[in-house]
Amino acid sequence: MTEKIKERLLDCSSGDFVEIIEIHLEGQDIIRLAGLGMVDGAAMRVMKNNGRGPIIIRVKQTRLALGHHEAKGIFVKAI
Amino acid sequence: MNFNPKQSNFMTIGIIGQPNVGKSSVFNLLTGLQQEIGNWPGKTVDRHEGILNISGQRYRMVDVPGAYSLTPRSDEEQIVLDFIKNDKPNLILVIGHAQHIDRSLFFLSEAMLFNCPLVFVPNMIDMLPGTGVTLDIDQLAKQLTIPVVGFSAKTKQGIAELKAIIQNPPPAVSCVDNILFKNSFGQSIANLLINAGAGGEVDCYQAARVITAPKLNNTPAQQSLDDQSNLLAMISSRYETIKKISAAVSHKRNKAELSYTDKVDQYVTHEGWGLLIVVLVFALLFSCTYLAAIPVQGVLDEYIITWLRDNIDKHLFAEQPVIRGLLSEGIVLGAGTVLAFVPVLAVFYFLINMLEDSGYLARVAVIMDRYLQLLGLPGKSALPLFLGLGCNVPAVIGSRVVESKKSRLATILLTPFVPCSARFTVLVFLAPVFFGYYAPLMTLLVIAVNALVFIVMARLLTKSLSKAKASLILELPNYHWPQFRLVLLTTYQQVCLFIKSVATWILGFSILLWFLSTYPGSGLNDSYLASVGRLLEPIAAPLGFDWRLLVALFSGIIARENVVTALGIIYGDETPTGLSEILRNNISSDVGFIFLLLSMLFVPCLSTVFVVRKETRAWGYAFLSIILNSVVAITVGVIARLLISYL
Ligand SMILES: Nc1nc2c(ncn2[C@@H]2O[C@H](COP(=O)(O)OP(=O)(O)OP(=O)(O)O)[C@@H](O)[C@H]2O)c(=O)[nH]1
Ligand SMILES: [Mg+2]
Repeated sequence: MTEKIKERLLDCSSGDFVEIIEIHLEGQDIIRLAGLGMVDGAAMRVMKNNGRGPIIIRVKQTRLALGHHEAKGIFVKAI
Repeated sequence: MNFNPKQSNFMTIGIIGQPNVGKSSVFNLLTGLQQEIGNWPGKTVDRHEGILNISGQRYRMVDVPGAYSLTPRSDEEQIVLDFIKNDKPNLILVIGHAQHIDRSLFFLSEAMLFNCPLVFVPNMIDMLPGTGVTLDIDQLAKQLTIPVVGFSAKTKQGIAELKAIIQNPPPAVSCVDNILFKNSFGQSIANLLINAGAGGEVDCYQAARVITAPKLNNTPAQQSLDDQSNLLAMISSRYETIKKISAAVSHKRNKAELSYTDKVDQYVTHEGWGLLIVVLVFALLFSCTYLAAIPVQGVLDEYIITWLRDNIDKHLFAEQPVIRGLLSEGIVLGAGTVLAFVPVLAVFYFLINMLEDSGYLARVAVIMDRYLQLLGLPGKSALPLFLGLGCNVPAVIGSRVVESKKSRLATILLTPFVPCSARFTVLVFLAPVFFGYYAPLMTLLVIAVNALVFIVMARLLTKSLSKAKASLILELPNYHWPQFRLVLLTTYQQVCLFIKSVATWILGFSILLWFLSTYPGSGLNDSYLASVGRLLEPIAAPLGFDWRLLVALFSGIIARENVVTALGIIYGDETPTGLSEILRNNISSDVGFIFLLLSMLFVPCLSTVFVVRKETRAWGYAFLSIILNSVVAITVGVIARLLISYL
């Protein structure tokens, strides 16, 4: 794994295009995210993240608001 | 309905799918029943049943809440699982979203674990042309080897085809052979089934649970990385297969292009603008509600209630004053209280439903999340708490959108601390009476104390009920123009529900109050009610109240507007100017201030109490709510009195 490009979703900025490489969350959250199309390898666009309030992302046609807890557990790399 | 479809030999047809894909819309289209529809994921919180009639043949249709997957995580998923296990539907319509075909296929693959006959129904295909997404239905059906119906609940496209399939259901789907299980997940299930033997003790669903579920309840810390990566690997392998299928059937032009919704969201979910928009939208909502509802309320009161009472008093039962009193003061007045709620609720519900169907309410939760986190509440509590400013009753019902049980309970118990419009009415009428020129200032002070109490209670309740975690996974639906007809029908249903659930109680209590205030003596002063008030007077002494104020406060329990009416009856002048004069001469501004505080915070009105009991399914919580509000209100009152005496 190339550690340099791996970062938490929480640390991405608005407008970034990223790809999910790892998810470290409770199993139930993993399943729910899977139901929303958030799986390893999924490409997404960070619509809004300014450090406060929920992070908004778009995976394919799905728009999601994620809390900081979730955004800390999702690891991504830039694409 | 006289017959019970469950007992008769109707075929049962389930409608399942992810949240907000249009299950209830499909259900309504098929059954002609109106099911709550809204552009907010998680609208349907219970199962609903209806009858579909195809040329004389009747089918029992069941609409269940949306679930992102069929792995139990919350109540909603459990309701779906219970339905499939207990009702053993003869056919399941798996509703998908034509725009989100990957996710829909993931859900479909979960549904395939139940060994039921399935139809896959990608809904909302009317939306595809505008989004640059294409979907090849025939190719999809060929790959999945189950019937697939491209559908639109809006344009009714596909309805004939769907009905034809319902009349001739396909055979049950076996997960082991299906293309969606041609991966390591399917392989693991097949292996488990073989190892379990041919006895058929283990079914596909149980096998899938064995492979993924034991680790579901563990936190990452408890799990070894191996376990986690196994769960993730299973999900990945399923999505690999899905990607191949969706690449063959669905295409999207201009992948990176921002949609209309994205552009609107840049402002609506913006830190500063977003908050401003929330404030403006709700300010507009409340002003519209009052502008539209108050005149109607006046008309109802004048032309129906007052007219009825006048006529009863003049023409009916002249010989039997008891029956006349019961009719005029007990029943008609009680009905009037119920009726007075209706215009406010109808307008308010209507506007909220418009906002909801447009997709905006999900954004309110996002904006408010940050602020509510400070109180230990999830962002989704914002909606019911805002609703509470209009009337606490829909607010308690609206708390259904809050997922976690504990947060939902905290929201319900907090709702009565949100001042409703009726309480504002009392405040606005009485403040000038007690404080003259200082009324606006004192009104603000009362509201500020109320806000402070709300914040303290929120902290206390969430501390004792749930551990706050900055957790949120919320889908933000596309914006669209609200469907006027649907919004209207939903509103109608909600108002009917309100009337049904509280009317009898209010009526009963109103009759009781009439009795207590009429007997045994000649007037209110000699009534049971006055006796009770006098009996309680010593207890109310620390607050500085005499029995009259106490009775007025208690009459507010039926409905807050009653406080002013009761003061009028007790002090013997029911005209606003006359009453103001008498009150000013009889009540000091110190006592007035404490009275206003208590009328804001004291026991929620009966309708709210009954709705709390209905939504929590426990009288215990309804009583808890009463006790909580009484204790807090009296404590605040006593503290205020002490502070005033030191000043
Ligand atoms: N354009 C379009 N909109 C639709 C269609 N079907 C439903 N909608 C809209 O989609 C939204 C969700 O519809 P619902 O029927 O409440 O969805 P649901 O699946 O029952 O939602 P939950 O009960 O929350 O799981 C509403 O705003 C509907 O008006 C359709 O075929 N086309
Ligand atoms: Mg629904």
